Amino acid sequence: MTDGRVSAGEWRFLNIIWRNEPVGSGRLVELCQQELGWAKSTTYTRLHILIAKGMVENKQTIVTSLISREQVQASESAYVVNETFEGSLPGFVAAFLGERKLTEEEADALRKLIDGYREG
Amino acid sequence: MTALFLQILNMSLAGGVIILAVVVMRALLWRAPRKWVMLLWIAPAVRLVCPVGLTAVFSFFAAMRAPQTALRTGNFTNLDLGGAVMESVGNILPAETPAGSVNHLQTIENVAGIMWLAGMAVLLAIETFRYLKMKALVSDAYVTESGAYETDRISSPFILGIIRPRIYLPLEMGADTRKLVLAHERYHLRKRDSLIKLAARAILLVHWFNPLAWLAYRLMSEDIEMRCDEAVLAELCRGEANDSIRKAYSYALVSMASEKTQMHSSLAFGERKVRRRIMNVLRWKEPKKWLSAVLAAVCLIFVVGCVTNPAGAPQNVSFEERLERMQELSGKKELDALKLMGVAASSLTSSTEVPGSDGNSYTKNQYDTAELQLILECNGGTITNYTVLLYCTTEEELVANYRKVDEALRKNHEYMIHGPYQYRTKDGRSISWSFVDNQQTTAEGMPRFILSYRSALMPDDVVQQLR
Repeated sequence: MTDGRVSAGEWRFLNIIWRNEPVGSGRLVELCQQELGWAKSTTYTRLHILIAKGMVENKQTIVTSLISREQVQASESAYVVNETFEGSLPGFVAAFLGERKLTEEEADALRKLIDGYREG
Repeated sequence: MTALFLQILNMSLAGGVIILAVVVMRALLWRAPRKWVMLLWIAPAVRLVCPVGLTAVFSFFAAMRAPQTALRTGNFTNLDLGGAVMESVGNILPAETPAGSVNHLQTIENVAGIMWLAGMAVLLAIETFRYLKMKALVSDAYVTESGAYETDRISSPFILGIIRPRIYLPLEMGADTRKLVLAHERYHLRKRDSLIKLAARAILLVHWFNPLAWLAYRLMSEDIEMRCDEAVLAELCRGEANDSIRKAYSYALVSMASEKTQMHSSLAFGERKVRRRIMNVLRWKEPKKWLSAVLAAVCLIFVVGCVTNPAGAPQNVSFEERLERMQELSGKKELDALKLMGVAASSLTSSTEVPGSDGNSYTKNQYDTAELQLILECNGGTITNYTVLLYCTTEEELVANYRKVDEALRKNHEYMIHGPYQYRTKDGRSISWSFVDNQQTTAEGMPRFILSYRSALMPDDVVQQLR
């Protein structure tokens, strides 16, 4: 995935980094062992892969992220909208909602969002 | 190396016969619970690994060897690796025998041995490569509270790993399917099916040239999965509505069906052809206790029957032991090789003493029968030698008599023929079969063939007297 998307395992890994950064690589290994069941070598391998993707950096054994949660989420949703809904955002939202109705809070939040994004 | 390969070939042929028997048996038992049917596979596994064979199969091999020997009638000085005697007997041959046509067969055997090793190496490399690839694919899988690992890179659940096998699950699974799949995979782990499959795979790699081995592996893998399905169903269906569980399970099988057939060593839940398993699941019924017991007994009896030797055949006695027994017996003053041949002692026409340069006295007995014209025995001394020689006028007679001798020797537990043509004992005696294309003719002008079986080295001068 070279378009800013990540695999399920990588997403969880990034979450650990986001929640704990800046984090020492040793501590990171511990956390990954606890939360993901990853061996030390696995953690280092995945770390290097993310570094190669430019999403994370490791300076003097301190790991920080170079990409934000929102950015990854944006890439993922863009992919879904483009692939599954052929670029139709309304289509995506409708499918996401399915049968249910929006609550008052959701409707307000969406209205504000739409206004903010409206062109012109 | 070639000897090892020939051993393996022997075992493969024996194993192949058993595999066919198991396939038939399995077809007959298609409605039986898989946990008993799986026992059947023990039989070919044993046969493919242990160099203990059925007498029937061996005499099949003995019969196969006879035509081979016709090829060898050109020259056989190579047969006895170090038997000077053999070379001297070989001197009966005319000088023009081309050394090239020698061991035609031996070269073929050597090449085959090398090809076998090469094939094994290639397959092993492929296995390793595939395993590493799978490992890399699931390297970012994370553990879930069930203990199984989850990853979005696979579409079908499986187990990977030998020392610490792990369950790998894809993300897109409904709750019901997930429950069933976990139960299924956990059963695999409990029964250590990973190890069973690994052992089977190892055997397959050694017998890679045998298509029946591949068939057996595939069928056994099916049985492993179906046994697992049955066990899971049995546990889940206690008191609950059977149909809904069966449907849920079938749905799980279909939704997890993978696109490719996975012929590697991992235990995959989904297969391309799920129809068989679904049929099995839908039709499955808890078997009655007595029926289970009967089926278990049938399978066990079948396995025991396939693995053991029929009564009267040489049992698992080592060659050395049997040789010792033979030596004990032939230490007696008179070794009656005639009994082996079924020749009446009354047909003896002459008996002469032949002193050997090794200090022993040999007795040359001539019998007047159509098959047997000469037998040489060694009496006295501490050396136990004997040689059986058959003069035959035609090649057909030769082959027929060879079989007779071979059979007679096998039936008699004291004598053993091991290996294609020869064997060496620890103290340096050699035992070998050989054939000579003797340019001599009988009185009627027919060409003569000599079949000789030696139990030990005999001095040259005695050998000369054999004509």
